[in-house]
This record gives sequence, C-alpha cells and structure tokens, in this order.
Amino acid sequence: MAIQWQRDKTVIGTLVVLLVMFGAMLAGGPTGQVVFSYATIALFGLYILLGVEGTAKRYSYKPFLAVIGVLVLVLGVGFALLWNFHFANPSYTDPVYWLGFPRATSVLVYWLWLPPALVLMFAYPYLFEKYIWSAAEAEEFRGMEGPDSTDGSDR
Amino acid sequence: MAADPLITGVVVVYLLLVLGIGVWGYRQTESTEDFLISGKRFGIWAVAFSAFASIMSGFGFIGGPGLFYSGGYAFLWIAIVAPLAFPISWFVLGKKMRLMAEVEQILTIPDAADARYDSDVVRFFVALSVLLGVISYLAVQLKAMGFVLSDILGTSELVAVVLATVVIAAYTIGGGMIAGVFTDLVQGGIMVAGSVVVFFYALDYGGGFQQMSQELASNSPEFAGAFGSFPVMLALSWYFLFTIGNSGQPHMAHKLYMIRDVKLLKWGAPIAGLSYFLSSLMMLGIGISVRAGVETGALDSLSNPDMAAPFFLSNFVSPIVAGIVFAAALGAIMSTSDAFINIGAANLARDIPESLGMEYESDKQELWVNRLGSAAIIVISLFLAYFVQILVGILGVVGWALFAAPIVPLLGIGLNWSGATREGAIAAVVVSLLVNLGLAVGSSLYGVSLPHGVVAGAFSLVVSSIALIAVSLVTNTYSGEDIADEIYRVVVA
Repeated sequence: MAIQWQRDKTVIGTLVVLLVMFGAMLAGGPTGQVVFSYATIALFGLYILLGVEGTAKRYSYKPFLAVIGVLVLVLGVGFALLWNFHFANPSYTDPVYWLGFPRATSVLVYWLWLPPALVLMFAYPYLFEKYIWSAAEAEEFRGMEGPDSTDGSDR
Repeated sequence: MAADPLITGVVVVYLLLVLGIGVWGYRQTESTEDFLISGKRFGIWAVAFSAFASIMSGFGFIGGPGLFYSGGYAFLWIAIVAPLAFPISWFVLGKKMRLMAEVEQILTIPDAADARYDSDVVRFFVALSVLLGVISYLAVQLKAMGFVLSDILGTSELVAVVLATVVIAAYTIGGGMIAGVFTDLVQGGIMVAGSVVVFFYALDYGGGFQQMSQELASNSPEFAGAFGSFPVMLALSWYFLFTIGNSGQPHMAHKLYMIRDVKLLKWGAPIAGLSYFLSSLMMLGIGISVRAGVETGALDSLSNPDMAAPFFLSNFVSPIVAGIVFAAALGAIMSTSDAFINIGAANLARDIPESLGMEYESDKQELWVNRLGSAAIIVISLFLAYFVQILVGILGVVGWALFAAPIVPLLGIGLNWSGATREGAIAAVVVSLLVNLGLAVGSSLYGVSLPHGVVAGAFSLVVSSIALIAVSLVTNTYSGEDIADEIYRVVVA
C-alpha cells in the first residue's frame, strides 16, 4: 500500500463518492435517483477541489472551499426543490406552473441551468490573478526550460 | 424541399468564407505544431469560442431540437450542463493542460498521457480509444452535413455530402488547427447570433413557454415534466456524464494547448459557457414549439424528429435568417468535424506510430504525414458512415465515453493527483475500452442494456475512474516524486 493521507484524502473521498454512484445506478428507484443526484453534486465539488489543490496548498484553501461550498449549496437546494415538486406530481397531470413551466421543470430551467454555472464562471476570473496564476508562479514556470516561454513574447 | 434562393445564397457565401479561411490557414501552417495546436498563437476569444463550437456539434444544433421534440423537456439535462461544465473543466484542467504544453513538446492528448505516466502502453490505448470515438463521431457528423446541406440546396444527400466534405477537407488538410480555430470563431459567432434570433421566433410562434407547457401538459403530460418522456436515471446519467465528461473531450481539452499565454485563460470559462448557453436556446425553442404544435393538431407529426429544426426554419423564419441559421447548423457540424479530423490525424500519424517506436526524420515529413492522416480519417469515416453503419451504430452507443472514460481519470485526475500510478492509468484505460466496447456490442447486437435507463457512457466513466484510483492506491510506479521533475511541478501547480 502506498497511501499518503495528506496527499490522497481528496481522491479517497472521490473514490467513496464514485462507489456510491455505482451502487445508486444499479439500485435505481426513487432512492437511487436521489442518492445519485447528490453523489453527483459531491463529485463536482471534489473534482474541482482536486483541480485547485496544488494552488490551495500554496496559498489558501478558504477561497476555493467558499466557491465549492456555494456551488454545492446552490445545486443541493435546487435538487431538493426539484425532487420535492417532481415526487409530489410525477405524472405532471394538471401541474402548478411557475414562470411558464410546471414547478419541477421550472426549477431545472431557472435554478439548475445558469445560477450554479454563473458561480463558477465568475469565480474563476475573480480568483485567477491572486491564486490560480499568480505572478510568482508565472515567473517560476518562465524560468523552466521548455519548448516555449509562458508569455508568448517571442512571437 | 425546394431550395430557397436566398437561403442557398447565404449558405454558399458562408462556405466560400470558410474556404477562404482554409487558404489563409494553409499559408500560415509551417510546422506540425502549427498544424496540430496552431503554434500556440491564439487569444482567449478564439480558444474559448473554438472550445464551445467544438462541443456544440450537429448533435446539439440539429439533434437537440429533435430530442426536445421527441422527449419533451428531458433534453434540458444535456442542454443545461455546458455552462457549468466549461468552468469545471477550466478549474480542473485549464492551467494544467497549457503548462504541459509549456514544459514538454506536447501536441495531443495521448502525448500528455505519455508525459504524465511515461508509458507507451498508456499512450497507445488512449490513442486507440480516442481514434474509435473520432471515427464514430465524424461519420455521424459527415452524414449530418449531408442531411442539412441536401435540404438547403435541394440536391441528393450524396451530392451534398461530397460538396460538404470537399469544403471541410480543403480547410482542415491545408490549414490544420490554424484554419480550424479561426473558422470555429466565425462559426461560433454565427451559432450564437442565429440561435438567439430563432429562439424569439419560436417563442412568438408557440405563444410563450406558459402556453406551450400547458398545451403539452394537457395533451401529453409526460412531455412537460422535468424528465420528459425519458427514464429519470437516464437524464441524471446525462447530467453527470456531460458535465464531468466535458473535461475528457479531446476536441475541447486540446484547445487549451493553443492559447498563447497562460494568463489569457482568465475569461475563457464565461466566454465558452455563456456562448453555449445562448446557442442552446434555439434547440429548446424550436423543439418545444414544434412539439406543442403537433400536440394541439396545428402541425402534422414529423416523420423524423431531426427534421424539427429544418422544418421550423423553412416554414416560420424569414429566408435570410433561416439561411444564417442553416449556415450556423453547418458551422456546428463543421467545427466539431474539423477538431475530430485533426485529432484523428494526430492519432494515425503521431500517437500510434510513436507509441510503437516509429520516428520521423524531420518535422516537415511529420507535417505532411499529418495532412495525409487528415485525408485518411475523412475517407475512413465517410466509408463507415455509408457502408459499415453497424460499426458506427455500435460505437455511437457509448459516444462521448470513448473519450471521457479514459481521459477524465488519466488527465482530469492524474494531472492533479501525484499519487496516480502507471498501473492505475493502464487499468483505467483498459477498463474503459473493455466496458465501453462490451456495453456497445451488448446493446447493439444482443439488446443488453443497463438497468433503470443508466447511460452506458456514464457507467463506464464511473468504473474507469474507480479503476484509476483503486489501482493507484495499491501500486506506486511513476507516481509522487518519481514523476519527471517538470511534469511533477505541473501536477502540483
């Protein structure tokens, strides 16, 4: 075994979530569907965390955990509303309408489509210069030998 | 359909514009790096638009309205994912992919896998999986081009597909990714503008979403539901596969090599995500308005759901706008196709030969072999599309997963986790191929499918990711500080 807890903890969490998703896929039914949806949200969070872990270790976990927390909250509440309205009237016979759609469909259109995406879309440029690609890191990579320079100034 | 001269004129002007870009791209292409990754010369608008335009394929622009038409709001589960998927891909792979191209001579996705795991076996299997995906997708895209263009020009599908193939071959074989990215920029702009305009045409025709939803719910309630007429687990599988799988699409991920400076990545996620959002409005509007029209009896049922977009554009939109949107539809198909041709050519000319120990004598020689590879990929895909449809059908069952199932674990996880090992990578890529092909053959030839409507590709992505992590946790070859120093610094960056 070559497990190093500090290095591997996010990936071990990801593995647990993937196993839950695997089980939920095979189980199916309303419980499987709900579990799968929340495991998917957890996987989104862990995948992003994995992607920024190098940067977070160098600077701070806080801004990234805040972004991931907001994303998970938005998606979690959205899916809670979706399931609530969907299971209340799964046949969609004579549904209640919100903003042009049956309520569950409305949650999908107005809550799950753009709001979680906007959180991440604008978090990336907001965090970019201070954390994701700082001047110090650019300088470090500029000093490495490679097929090209980072600033494209030789073009 | 009788060809409308205005629609035909607009589309012909568009095709000539694309050919012109191809000629310009040919003059700019002097090396294999220019051909495969455009010499890392583009800014963020070109790269982000190219990434979005490559992902928005004929499947979305023509198949999307058809799926809304046939399944109601279920297709939202694919349509809504891209705005979220692009920033996730940017967070997970944006910097890493660009830095890989910074520290090594990396031009393709299998190059990156080889650099990370120092394994020709990994490189070979990634290239093989990507090649299978490219051929199956390209075959479908080329057929879709024939389908759309024959409707516009009023010719047979054969004439249309030959014409479309000549145009796309001219600019991809000559201009490589320089022409590819530039045409994607133009095509992406046309897609966004055309989609928004037609969305309002569709709302106007249908009387708004409230009226359309009520018409659906009163006639066929399942179409109005959040999962449409499809199984719930199928929609959820789509949501997972197309969000996480975005970072495993070679035609998206390898665009990240092409940006001229890492710092330009900053605004890429909103540009790509919002562009996709705007370009997907049309499929929702057309698909639902035509479905509602059929439900109320105002329209006759369509013989083929994929006719929803051409039918609406030809009958309810002014010819000039229809011409622009038909050009956008061709653009959606072409932008995906040019990326696939380029990636497939690199598989044939670079990844597979080099993983088997072959080397080129000069860069000029490799450039010309890549050009020949592009031509070969087009010919093979056309042949399969029309003469070996069963193979295209089999591979189409797993579709995106031929890319996502190996690439997400190997690069999405492996470029961010130094604990990923060579054995883990081999396990993941072999498992992904076996599961994908096994499910595809089982489904196509024996009618075997996963329970509860689970999408085969989502299943294989979960299984291959589990394989990478589980095997890596109990092995240790080429992980941690054994990784080459410059690659290790990218992994922990």
